[in-house]
Amino acid sequence: MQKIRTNWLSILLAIAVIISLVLSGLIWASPYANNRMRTDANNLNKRFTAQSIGDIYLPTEVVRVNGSGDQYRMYGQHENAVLTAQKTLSKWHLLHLTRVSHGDSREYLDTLRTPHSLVLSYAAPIPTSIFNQTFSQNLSPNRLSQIQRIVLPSNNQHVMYLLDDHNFQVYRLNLTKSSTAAIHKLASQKSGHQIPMDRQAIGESLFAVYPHGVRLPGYAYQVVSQDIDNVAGNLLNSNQTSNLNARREGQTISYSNNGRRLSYNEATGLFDYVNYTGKDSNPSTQQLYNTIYQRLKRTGIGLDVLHFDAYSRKHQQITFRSYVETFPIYSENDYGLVKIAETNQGIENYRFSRYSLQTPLPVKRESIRLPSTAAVLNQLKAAGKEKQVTGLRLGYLWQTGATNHGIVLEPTYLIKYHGDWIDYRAVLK
Amino acid sequence: MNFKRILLIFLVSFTLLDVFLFFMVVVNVRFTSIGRQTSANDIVMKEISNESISFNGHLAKDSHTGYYYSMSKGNDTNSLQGKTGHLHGQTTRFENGLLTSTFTHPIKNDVVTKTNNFDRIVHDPKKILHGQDYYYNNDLSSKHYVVYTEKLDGRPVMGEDGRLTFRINRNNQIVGYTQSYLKPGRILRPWKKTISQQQAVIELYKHNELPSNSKIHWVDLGYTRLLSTKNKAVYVPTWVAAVRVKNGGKTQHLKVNALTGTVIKNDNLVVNVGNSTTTSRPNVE
Repeated sequence: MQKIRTNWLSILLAIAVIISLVLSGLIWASPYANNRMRTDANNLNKRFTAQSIGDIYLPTEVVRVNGSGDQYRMYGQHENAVLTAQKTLSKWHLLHLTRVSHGDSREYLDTLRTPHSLVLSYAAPIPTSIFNQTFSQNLSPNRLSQIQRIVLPSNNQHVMYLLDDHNFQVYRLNLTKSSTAAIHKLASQKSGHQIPMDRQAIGESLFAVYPHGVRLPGYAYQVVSQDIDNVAGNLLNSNQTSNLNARREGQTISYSNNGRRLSYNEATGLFDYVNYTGKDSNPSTQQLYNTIYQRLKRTGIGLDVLHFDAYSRKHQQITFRSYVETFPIYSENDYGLVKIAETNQGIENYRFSRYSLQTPLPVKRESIRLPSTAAVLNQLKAAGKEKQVTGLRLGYLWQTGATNHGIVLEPTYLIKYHGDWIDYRAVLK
Repeated sequence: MNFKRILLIFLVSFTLLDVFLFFMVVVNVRFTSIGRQTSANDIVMKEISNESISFNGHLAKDSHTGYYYSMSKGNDTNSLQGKTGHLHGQTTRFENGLLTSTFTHPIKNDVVTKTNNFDRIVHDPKKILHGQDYYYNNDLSSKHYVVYTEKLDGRPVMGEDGRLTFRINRNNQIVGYTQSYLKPGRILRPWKKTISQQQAVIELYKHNELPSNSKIHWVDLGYTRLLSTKNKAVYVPTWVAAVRVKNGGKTQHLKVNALTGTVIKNDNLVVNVGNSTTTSRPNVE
């Protein structure tokens, strides 16, 4: 007691200092503290879309696994499987993240065949922190750094899996106080279509294979086009390109303004924007995904049919691609595509087409028959080209020059050949 | 200055600092729970009120879900034309594609049980064709015109098509009706999220659709036609706002595409699909 009496001042001071450290820490750590009052004037000019970051970094492929472990790729259901699964999973309590397998492709494929489950797959892995934001979870990125596939139980089994193709890693999570009824309902939908499929590991990659061939409908869309003044207004802060310094080089016109340059290629309809005024930085993968999403919103492109499609660590670039009913859309001139990069020197680069898809249009129900995956792979082998093939996916083609009003997309197999995605028929020619 | 005094000065300073920091934390905590976009919205809402554009109550900020529908293009006269023989107690004719009917004996409109009265008429197959497909629409009804509309995904169809309008004369009698019919259509894509009621009003404001000094009577979510192809029409969830300039003026119905946030100015847009060169191409309807 005596000690406290004599030192009361020092003790009080120590308490006051500790309190101020704690409060300062709270303020510093608060994520919105600095951004709160900064009303970005540009935001007021942007269209509201129903999309948020949780709508862009979403899985695109939905596969149902029945009681016998048979897999069916689902598309065309009225209940939006991905968004409903997002809502459901966001309410689940997930515990005990444990790695149960790695380096074993057989185990990996078996997990993807878990009976009575719904498997959601991303086009490319996403950082765990983005998964956390999308699904309101709190998984530790230190234990699991990236996720590519999600296996959800549909029959009240209280276990789910998160998978990463890289090194065939399988992580298990326990569900508590969580109902799988909504997943069961999704998987049992009568509307839409189901394609029997399987998966194969070829080398380090996983391929989805369709043993009985595929019958897919054509899909039609209204095409919308951004004009250059609009884009310049969004990116160069100047609505009148006539006021800017313009330079023409063949079919490309470039406009510059204060360390920013916007180029437009009249032949392809592609915009190329570079901003040299950023600061040096060394963003983590997670920060990059977040930052690039903010940049995406600035392009002014409607986000309605855009989905996260690829990530290049080498170029620090993310590709967003237009999708129709879970299938990616490819074209020669990158219609409906947006690529955004941010280098360590703080240089921003956007490449995107002026053409994008907006309203779906009704199409007479005539479908196109595609051969089985095995047949395609055999043809590639016969042509001696299978070694250069590093990917295969079902997708839709947007024909070059189809930029007026309404267009029809045609289904096909896309092959990743020498690093580029091409129609399989073009590879076999 | 002895040591104790120095300690005392430090203590007072840190205490003041703590009070200040505490304030900052409280302020931040309050603002942390509000998303960044809300502050931009709040600014626009303030501008709207500064221009004397008013509405009852608050605009809702929650989003809903909706589908793109493929429907028949325009009024489906075929569903009505051959069947007027089933109707009794009225004379019918087709005018501008609408079925126009006059009751042989005007029906007294019992004001007290208004909706029940009309429901009875609408659900009587001898009085109205396809009556079970129509529902009372309070937004579009008035003293002399009682409107029933068809529904898509539980929401009213707010366009010219799919509408049943009863005419009431000055003696409060139901004298007849006009009817257009939309056959059930089909869903084109899985559901998507819609923008909120508040966002719809903000979009109208940003595109200079809301005149100063006007009142927004209601903003409701329904379905309207967005565009057509050669043979079909595409319907989308639409926020429809009834706006009238204060001190007289006609009520305008303004429309915002609830899936994309774009203002719908013209629903007569016909989208043509380019000719294909490949043989196995599907045809657009």
